[in-house]
Amino acid sequence: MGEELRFAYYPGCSAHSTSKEYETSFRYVCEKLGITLVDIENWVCCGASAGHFYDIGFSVALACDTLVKARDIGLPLITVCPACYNRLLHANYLIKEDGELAKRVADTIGSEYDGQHEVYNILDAFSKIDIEEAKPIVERPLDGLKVACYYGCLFTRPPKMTNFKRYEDPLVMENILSLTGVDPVDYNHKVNCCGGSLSLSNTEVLGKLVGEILDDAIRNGAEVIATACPLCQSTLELRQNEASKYLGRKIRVPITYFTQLMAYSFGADKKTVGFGRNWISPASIINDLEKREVKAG
Amino acid sequence: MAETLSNKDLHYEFRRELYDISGENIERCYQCGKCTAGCPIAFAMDLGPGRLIRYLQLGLIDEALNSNTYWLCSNCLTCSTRCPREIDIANLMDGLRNIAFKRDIKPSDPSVKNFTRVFLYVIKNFGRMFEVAFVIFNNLVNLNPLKDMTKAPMMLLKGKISLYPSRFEGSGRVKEIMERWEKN
Repeated sequence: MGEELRFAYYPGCSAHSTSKEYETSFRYVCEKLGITLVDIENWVCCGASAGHFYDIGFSVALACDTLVKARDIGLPLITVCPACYNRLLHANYLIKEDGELAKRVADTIGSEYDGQHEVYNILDAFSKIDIEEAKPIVERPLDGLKVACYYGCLFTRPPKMTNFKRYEDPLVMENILSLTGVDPVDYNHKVNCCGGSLSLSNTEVLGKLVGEILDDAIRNGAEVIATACPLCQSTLELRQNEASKYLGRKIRVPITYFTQLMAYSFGADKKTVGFGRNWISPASIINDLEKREVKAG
Repeated sequence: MAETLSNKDLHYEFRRELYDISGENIERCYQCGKCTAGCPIAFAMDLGPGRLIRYLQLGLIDEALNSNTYWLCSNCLTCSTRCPREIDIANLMDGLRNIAFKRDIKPSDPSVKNFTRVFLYVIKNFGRMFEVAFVIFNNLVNLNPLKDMTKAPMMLLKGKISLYPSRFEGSGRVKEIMERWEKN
């Protein structure tokens, strides 16, 4: 499938706990698309949120520890978590800018590092796939499923580090998911913040943030919301009560990882797809798709 | 007679410290207001991000440090992306938090400060996030022991959280890096 895609894989903490279904579906999809993942062994937390709140330099040291592990494997690093992605990019950026910091980091982690190791996020990697060529992999097309692709903050921002072109209105997830036949909806809140980093500390602000995103997506016809961020997924899914209270009407919409939809359409078994782990499963909506087609036919 | 502001009034030393920590130069800000306009959390802040920067420019340091603005910033980077003067405002907020930790500022709502402390405590001891320990400790320090507990049984059942931390070689690495960083 074109160039060979090989990565050193850094899952990050969430993929090993709250978002296991992301990890299982991601690995499956990579295998099907011919992307090779080499696991980084004994990785530690990148310090996203708390690390830089406390000490920016310390968080750079933590991130560089992981970057050095990937460099030693000799493959570009890939992570599924945009918070990790952002911290790793930030560390690269600062190490290149600030020689004094680079030296202190090297003394701390015990390795020289120049801030040059390449970091990929999952959307970057999948966008290298030739959709037409990959079409035969699809066994169970999701034709007609109305999906709102939700990016959140850190895949696109800040563009000076991510080099993302359409950072106010990205389309890359829509393009990748078009492989499965879904019908993406157009809406305004694709890159608005869900408040994930405040989800456990300042729950009171979440009703408005989550409510406005879900309301916009649903008003534009979304049946399922697809995301690529563990923190967004759990916030949008677990804070629907707060959102309902804010909006003054009951909201209930499944939030899945976009890789779950891909894995399902590629024919993965139930456990790999992991709809059962979603707080609100999209399985019934997806099963209804066939009936819809029969009716239409 | 006209009043003039001296360097002392403008707290140049503080602004230098903020620059050294964050690399952001607040003097660049010309108060266009784009950051506050796009900030998703501004509605809950006592000073919008733009006004916070103005306070800093004017040397109103105590007022700025006692605001809830930089604690509530969710690091969504909308302001950093849109600032026409290319100030990475979210990074500036990190710089203010760093200073608040150093000076042990007591915020009126300590929840984000507590969150940060507990998060660091957990990764220091386990190397990776351990959600169950995190939520229990976080609820205890915030004197809200039952917060979100109704969700716990289902989270366990769905395998989203585990009662045990992940065990791996090198789980002491975060602690090691933390200690060496403080020493260097």
